[in-house]
Amino acid sequence: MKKTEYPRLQETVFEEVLPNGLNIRVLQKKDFAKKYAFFATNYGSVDTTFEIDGKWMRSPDGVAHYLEHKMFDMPDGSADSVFARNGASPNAFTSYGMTAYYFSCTENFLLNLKTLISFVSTPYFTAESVEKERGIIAQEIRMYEDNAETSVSEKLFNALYEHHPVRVPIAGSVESIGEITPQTLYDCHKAFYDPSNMMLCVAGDVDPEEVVRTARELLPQTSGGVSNRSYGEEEQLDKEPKTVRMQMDISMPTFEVGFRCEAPKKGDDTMKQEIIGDLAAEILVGESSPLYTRLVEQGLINPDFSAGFESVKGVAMLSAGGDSDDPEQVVELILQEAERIGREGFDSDLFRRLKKSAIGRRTRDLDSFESICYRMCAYFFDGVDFLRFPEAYDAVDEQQVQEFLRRVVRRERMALSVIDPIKEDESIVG
Amino acid sequence: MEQRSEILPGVYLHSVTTGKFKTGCFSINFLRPHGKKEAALNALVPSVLLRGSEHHPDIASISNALDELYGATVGTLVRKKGGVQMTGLYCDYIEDCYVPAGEEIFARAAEFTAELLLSPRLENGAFCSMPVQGEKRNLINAIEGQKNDKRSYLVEQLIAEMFRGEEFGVPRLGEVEDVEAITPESLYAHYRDILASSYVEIFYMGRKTHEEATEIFRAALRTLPRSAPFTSYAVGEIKQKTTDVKTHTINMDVTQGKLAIGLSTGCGVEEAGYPALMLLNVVLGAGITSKLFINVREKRSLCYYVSSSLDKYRGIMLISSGVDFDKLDITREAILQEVDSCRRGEISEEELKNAKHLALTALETMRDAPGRLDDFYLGMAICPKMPGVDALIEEIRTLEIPQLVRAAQKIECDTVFYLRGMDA
Repeated sequence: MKKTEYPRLQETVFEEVLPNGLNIRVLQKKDFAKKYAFFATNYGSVDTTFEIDGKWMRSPDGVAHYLEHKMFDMPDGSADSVFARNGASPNAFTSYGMTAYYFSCTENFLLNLKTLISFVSTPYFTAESVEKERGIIAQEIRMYEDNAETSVSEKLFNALYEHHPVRVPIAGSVESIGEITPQTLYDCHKAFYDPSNMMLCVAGDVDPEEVVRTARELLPQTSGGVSNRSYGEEEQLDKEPKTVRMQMDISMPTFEVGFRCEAPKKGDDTMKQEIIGDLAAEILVGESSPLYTRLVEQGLINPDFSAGFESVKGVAMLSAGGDSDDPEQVVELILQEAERIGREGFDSDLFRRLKKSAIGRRTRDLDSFESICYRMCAYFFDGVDFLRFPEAYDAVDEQQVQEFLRRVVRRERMALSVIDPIKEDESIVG
Repeated sequence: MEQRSEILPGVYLHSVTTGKFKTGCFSINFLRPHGKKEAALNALVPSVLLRGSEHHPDIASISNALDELYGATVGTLVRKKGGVQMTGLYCDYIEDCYVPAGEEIFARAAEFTAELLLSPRLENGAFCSMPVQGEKRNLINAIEGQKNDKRSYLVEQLIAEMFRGEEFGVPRLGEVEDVEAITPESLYAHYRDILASSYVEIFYMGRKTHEEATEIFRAALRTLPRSAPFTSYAVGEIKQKTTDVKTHTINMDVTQGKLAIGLSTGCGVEEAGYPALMLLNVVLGAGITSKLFINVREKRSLCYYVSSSLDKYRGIMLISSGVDFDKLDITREAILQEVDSCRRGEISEEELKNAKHLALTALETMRDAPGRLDDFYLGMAICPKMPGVDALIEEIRTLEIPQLVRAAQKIECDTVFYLRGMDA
């Protein structure tokens, strides 16, 4: 078992790769009552087109999320009740890029770990149970449709890209999930829930050797291979700017603006590009920037405003958003400021402070088991060791950030998504 | 190690000394009687304080100072517990052992937070008018913006209705008309009064001992004005049961219907029956082994979410769910049937065991979660007879089904709120 020390973070990670390709990492956290395990597959809502048994298949939108709901079913009942008996609280989520299953507990850790590994590696779907879930997921989709924050991002992704499946909401639509059958779920499980496409992360006061032994005993000895996937034609980065608007029963307009970036290459480049993108967002319109103070003082943004960089399998963007009575004016000022910084550069002292701040905050994030395990997996799927972030920050310089802003924050890279309140106040209380 | 003591007149420090986190944190809370008179003022003060101080006159300079402290955070904290409103600031920061030797981040973070708290930027002897105007607008947007999240909005409307005419019915952040009436002068006068006349609760969790933390907070708060007697506050009476159930409907442009049910529990947090009620709530509607989750969601596929929670200070239970418009009545019935089944004693040993596991894990992991612990101790500060973490753990271990059934028999449905579409 490999043991890696991270002196700047004062953390130690135990790592093992099983012959079937599963990567296991354990972060020992003494003095905590909580124990946490996170089992993730590099399969998210965007992985809809893939090769299985030599044939290309296009699965219905929302299938990764549907599968996540149905994985808890086991031939002898629901995994939920097994966890409950052993005192664990399990949960799961599906994002654009991954599906993850996890639990936390204070006792019976190994028993619960067994349950986690078993149910995630055991596909069991019947026509009846798949049918039954449709009503529940339809209600979940309706809930997101009424949520302005989710909707504004979904519409933005849809406007930014023409081909990439990030255009489609993670849960799909009430119509698309209508096409899902037990066979769809079996196919997707076979294609993506192979140990070599997965990672198991554990945090807490546990014995790493026992974690590895448990996984080794329960999972297949060898890998069955992982499907090839396609995300459609390459996206064009420069084109006509686009604005999409809709109305909802909300109190003030909410918006999100996005700028298309070059997608990072797998490996160290992923972390480097993300750090450059995040620092660029901070320099441009983060809380310490001159523009942020100006926007607040002019009453154009409120404390909900935020900006950052994100990437999902083949696409990446810098985005900023929040509530504003005049989203267009906010976007105008952001574009002007980016243009000014591209021309004049920025205060070196601000850059130094922002790096110091970012490293400090990310280090503090390691107190959260949820955050560590999620990030270890997300970066691992992109081919990077997350805990190397302090060194990655050291390597980024001012010129890279300035060049990024000059290249990315331009009208040709932009789409804007706005949700306006419904004009007249039509709400009635009776 | 946990300790509590009065470090300045009317200022109490509750410290938890631990070396397991990379983040240290503290909150400074001013305790006020909650009600129409000052809810909006109390909610506005901390936001205005974060707009500028004597030495850090604007957001950028405050933010730069926090960056220099390796990305420390200072934020506003406005809470409502029963009849008590708590207003103040919190701070979290990196522990000294993760930064170059000799840098004392905690002491500097405490000094900095105290500077924001005690030395605001002034003009003509009051708060500067521009930040006050801006933060008034933000607060009004926050109050009006509650309707953006339909689930919590409906629950808020339900609570307001259940306590109509009482101070507790006033929302946590106050009401729009009261925010509009605030001037820089009236806010400043209220702020000076809060500083001098409130009881103050400080929660600290980090590597310093109680004595070290006491010294640092005493120094940081040396200019805090203190004039006893301090303003008293009361958690208030618990909700009395009613005989007729009231139903209200709100119409909005939505695609999903929602319902919120408010029940009186007949039991407050300082009463002997509280641990049984807490466990009953888990059996009924907390987590994936609860009656509501299994019978209303899993067996009948009526909804994606359905859960219950307690307001332990006011003796109420809140149940909420999201369903199709035409399923609202069926779901209401299905939910109330589950409450009835608890009253009839239909709780199995397995349900009891699952609920105990869930409740105990939540309590045992509280010391792993500074934010939850802060909130718990603040509750204890205003309800001194409330059982502590260890006492609750002890008591929950010993509970049996009949005690849960007795708790259920005191629960009565009080008010139901529906959210429907414009023409549903």
